[in-house]
Amino acid sequence: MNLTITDHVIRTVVVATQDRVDAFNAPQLRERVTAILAEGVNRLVIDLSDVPFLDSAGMAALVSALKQARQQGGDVKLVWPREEGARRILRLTRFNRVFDLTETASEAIGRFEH
Amino acid sequence: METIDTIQLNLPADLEQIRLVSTCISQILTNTQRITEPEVTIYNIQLAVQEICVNIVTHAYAGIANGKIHVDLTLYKRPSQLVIELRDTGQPFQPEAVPLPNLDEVEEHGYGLFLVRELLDEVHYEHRRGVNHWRLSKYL
Repeated sequence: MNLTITDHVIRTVVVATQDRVDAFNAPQLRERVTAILAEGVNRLVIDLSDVPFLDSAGMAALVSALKQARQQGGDVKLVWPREEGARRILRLTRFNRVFDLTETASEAIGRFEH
Repeated sequence: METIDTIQLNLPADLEQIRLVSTCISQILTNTQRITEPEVTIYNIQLAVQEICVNIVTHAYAGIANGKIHVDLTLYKRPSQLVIELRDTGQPFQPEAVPLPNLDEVEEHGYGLFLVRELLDEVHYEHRRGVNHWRLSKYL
């Protein structure tokens, strides 16, 4: 019997930080995301659960990641920050309507179609 | 109005240095009693002030070296209110020229001043004798 076994793996990359995501370090997040997308990965999870503070420059980096990933046929899913102030800002700016947000990274990974 | 506490800072206009303002806002409000949802209120003030400071660094002082931001935080007793005054000598700002973001379509830019107006009770800007003055306040 000839059996052909093929592994079909689609990479999903999780980017997490415990630092503020603000105007000072958002360029580092952009740079890292661009490098990951350049490797051909178009499924990204950005885990904000331990992020203590997110400003509009940080939010711009998230939007940039989303646009780039979607242009490559992929998507960016976010993990909600535990910080209540940051959660409310994501709702106020309606990011929760544009991004798929989950409570954990593993839940976010599971949301990608296989 | 009776003042409870004040903090003054004279910071280099630098995106890393302005983080110190968040620390000072947290510090001045730490022992303030009867703030509704203190953690969220402090977060919101920190975020709004961060947005103005970033604007000063990246726009007012664009192409200008060695800029400074003078920060006055004043906590008042009655009414219970935190007033944040920011002064810089960079380019004048035109708040009316900043469009509101379209919240139905996610955008990369335009949320900064929107957040400032949403999160604070008073936002006043004027350019006077070469100095940009911001007066921001939040009732507690």
